[in-house]
Amino acid sequence: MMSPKSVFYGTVRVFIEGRDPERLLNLCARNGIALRKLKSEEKGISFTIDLSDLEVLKTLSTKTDCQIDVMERKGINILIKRFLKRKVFAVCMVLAFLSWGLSYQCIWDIRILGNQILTKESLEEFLKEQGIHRGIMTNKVYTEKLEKSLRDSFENITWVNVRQDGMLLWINLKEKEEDLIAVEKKEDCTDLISPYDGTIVSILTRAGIPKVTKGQEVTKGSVLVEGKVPVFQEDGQIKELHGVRADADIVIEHVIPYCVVLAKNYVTRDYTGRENKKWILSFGNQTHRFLLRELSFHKQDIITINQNDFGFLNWNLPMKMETQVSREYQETLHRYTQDETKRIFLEKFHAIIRSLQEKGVQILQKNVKIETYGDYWEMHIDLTVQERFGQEAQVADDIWETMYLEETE
Amino acid sequence: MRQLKKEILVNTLKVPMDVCMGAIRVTIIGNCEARIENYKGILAYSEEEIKLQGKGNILQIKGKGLALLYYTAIDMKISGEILEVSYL
Repeated sequence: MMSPKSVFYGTVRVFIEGRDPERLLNLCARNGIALRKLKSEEKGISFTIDLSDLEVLKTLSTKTDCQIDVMERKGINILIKRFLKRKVFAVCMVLAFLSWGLSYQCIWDIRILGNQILTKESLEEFLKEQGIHRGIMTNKVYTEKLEKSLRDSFENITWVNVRQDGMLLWINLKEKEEDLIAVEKKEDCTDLISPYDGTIVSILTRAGIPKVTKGQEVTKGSVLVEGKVPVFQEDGQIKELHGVRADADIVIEHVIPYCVVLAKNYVTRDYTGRENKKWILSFGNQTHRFLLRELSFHKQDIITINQNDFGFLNWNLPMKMETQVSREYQETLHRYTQDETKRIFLEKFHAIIRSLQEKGVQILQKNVKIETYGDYWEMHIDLTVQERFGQEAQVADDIWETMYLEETE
Repeated sequence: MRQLKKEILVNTLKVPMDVCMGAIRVTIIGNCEARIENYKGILAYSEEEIKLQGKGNILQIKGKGLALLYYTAIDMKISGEILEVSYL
């Protein structure tokens, strides 16, 4: 096995021929020359020795009347010497090492972790104001000072850690937990109002004064349970109004109208198989595009694949490689048949029914009407339902749900 | 006679023979590798035969495709198909 010294300083494979090559081998061994990979050949013997032993071997060969032929030289030392002869290569090597060394002196990427409320953009803006940007020299980044300024400027940051890792600047932070949980502010006095036009099926009041009775018709926005509870004096006069959070279980029978719209025509994409591939190399703000051949497509899909950042052993340069593939396609216009339309509408109708049943809404009556208007089919669904609601006095805005089923179907 | 006496003494004292008498030490692994110590030098080297000079005798190794992996003044390693080991 070769020693590291031999690997660096180099080894040489020699071929010896003469009257008595075995004698030369013995002399070499006596003189402390380690012979490796000896191979008997037709006219002589070939073997490998350290480059430093070559001179001794030459001296010994004259004694034994053997001829030496150097077949091959190997080793890092020899490789370096060979490359140094090529001036351009040597200069490039030196420049590469210099640029590598210099690039290590800069921060090429800033990575922020742990921010949930604060956006990355706002933090980057703040860092810019502080003079921290991509490409800044590492010795100009004072982590402790930056940590302090981050804590001072953003009140909801409870903990922050800034550290340099190679060419990266890592900012780890934690935000206040109270800010993360949106605390719902509860009002002391609220009414329950009707979210729909309908008829009261049942009402069970837990808090507040009920303003409607069973069987009464109500309109959207009318007060069902009032949160102001009067406190009477002994003489029957109202002393004061005590505000409560109105709470009741109310079942309202009402009609939910839906409208599903489906275009009669739809477009499909047929890919021709022709592709255009582009490589985009971004360095900072500069972008260079490379492409093998330019093909012009009338209609195309563009898929961009972000290859990777040029990260290697914490050597993160602001370089990015992207591959952009454009695929040509042709659009074909199709028309839904009556059966297809019926199937799509049926699927949509079942989906609506299923979603209501999941919410616990009791469906009493279903009226479905399909009509055609020019290039569209319309399905009108009127569902008479009994819906239970209580506590929250919120008006539902989604009484009219209109779904457009176009070419995406 | 002197050699015989030396052998008897070494056997009695139970000292390794290769140390005291300078005998060739051959370690063969299967028939493909051999490590040899205590030799004086190579007398002949070819792919079919290797002859080594020992102290008072010659070690002959016959085989096919014999090659020396390394050769120093202390030891050597032979690889190849070893067919015969004999003392001349």
